[in-house]
Amino acid sequence: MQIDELRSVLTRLADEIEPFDGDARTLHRHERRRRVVTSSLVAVVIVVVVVGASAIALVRQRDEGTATVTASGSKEVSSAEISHVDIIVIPASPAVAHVLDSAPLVAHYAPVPRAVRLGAPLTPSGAAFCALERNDGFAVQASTPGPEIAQVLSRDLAGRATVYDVSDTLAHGDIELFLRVGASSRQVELVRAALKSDPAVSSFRYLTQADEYRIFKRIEAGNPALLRSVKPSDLPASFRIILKRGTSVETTARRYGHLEGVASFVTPRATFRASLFSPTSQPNLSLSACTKP
Amino acid sequence: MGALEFDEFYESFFDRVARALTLVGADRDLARDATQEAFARALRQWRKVREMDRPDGWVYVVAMNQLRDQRRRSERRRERSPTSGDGAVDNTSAVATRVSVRDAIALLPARQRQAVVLRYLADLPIADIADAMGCAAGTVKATLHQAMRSMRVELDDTEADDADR
Repeated sequence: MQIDELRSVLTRLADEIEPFDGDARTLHRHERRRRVVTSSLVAVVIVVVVVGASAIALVRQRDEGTATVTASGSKEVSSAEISHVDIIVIPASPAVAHVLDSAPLVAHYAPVPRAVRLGAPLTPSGAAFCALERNDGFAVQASTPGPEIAQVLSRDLAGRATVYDVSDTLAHGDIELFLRVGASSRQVELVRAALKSDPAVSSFRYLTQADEYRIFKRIEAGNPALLRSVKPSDLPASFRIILKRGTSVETTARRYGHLEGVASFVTPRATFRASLFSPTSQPNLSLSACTKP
Repeated sequence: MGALEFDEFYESFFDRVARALTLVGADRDLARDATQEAFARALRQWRKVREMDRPDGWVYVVAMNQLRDQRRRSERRRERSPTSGDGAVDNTSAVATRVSVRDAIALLPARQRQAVVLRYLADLPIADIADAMGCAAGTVKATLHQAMRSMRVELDDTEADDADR
């Protein structure tokens, strides 16, 4: 899709919205009344600080990397039974499934339907998402974390399927908390202290603006004009947070989203998972960046 | 005060600004209230606002800020309610069930959506969007670029340079 197309779509979407009836006379009347009220009253401002304590909801725990493999048993499960995705294998076929069933490093795998997916992570998962626009695939959970599974399966599946290592999606954590650009060191330390003392947090990592710029440069390596116009100080520092199993990502993210100095958050693993397992069924090539016309 | 002139401005832009707010995810009541408040502020400072290059840009910015403040207030209210439902700060975890540009826009995190609407619907310059979002111009460019990548929009070098204005 081109910029001009985006502009015209936005205009069309705005036009589809039911018109708003503004009333300038009402506005003038309110403003006159406001002036009268403010001139005759002394306003007393009371600031109420609310400290909200959010309950942490426990969700159903899932098996993680503990599958026992039998020689004849299939490791194919539903997507709900996959706790995390380490690699994606494309295409899905009985021959590929047979290899996965017999590979000790594979704990489980679930079918991934062919579709166009929005909001795909950029790299290297983006390559897998592009391949999934043309073929069905399998999402594979390793029995042991590490790079070996991709190497072993690439060798075993040579010529039959392509293996995409998407474990990079795990590196972003359950929650990515973006700070405001210009957040003070006191605000950063307050967030850090809150994370340290939070029993729901398994671990976290602080990425400075310089760290974020290095990542930005890597992603945008092919766009020199953008790189020239964005400085490290333009990018927000962030905390990448991994939660303990059973912790509600959304509830925890919201809790931290309200801290002073925090601008926004994303939930990379949940987003990746939703995008992978709940895609559209109608590929729309006009939105795909994978196949250039 | 130039009431007539203000009224013309109001008639021309009230509907457009309210629609833009709806596009960034506000419900109708919230969009109407935030827009009305932005115009009320414009009226109070009309002598200053009317001299600006883009008085409508000023109103877009104030309305978006108003929307952000109201959302924060309602988020806090929801936090206090144990039965709170959805309404995350952004909706990147929403599920794409149908491919359309509308979905692509809806799937953007709130700040990216705001930047896209201000830039490509309201046609505001980067500096004004930076004011609206309370960040540096470079941050707006980075945010817009991330949005374009997510929506699979081709953003070439020309647009990146153009974004300097």
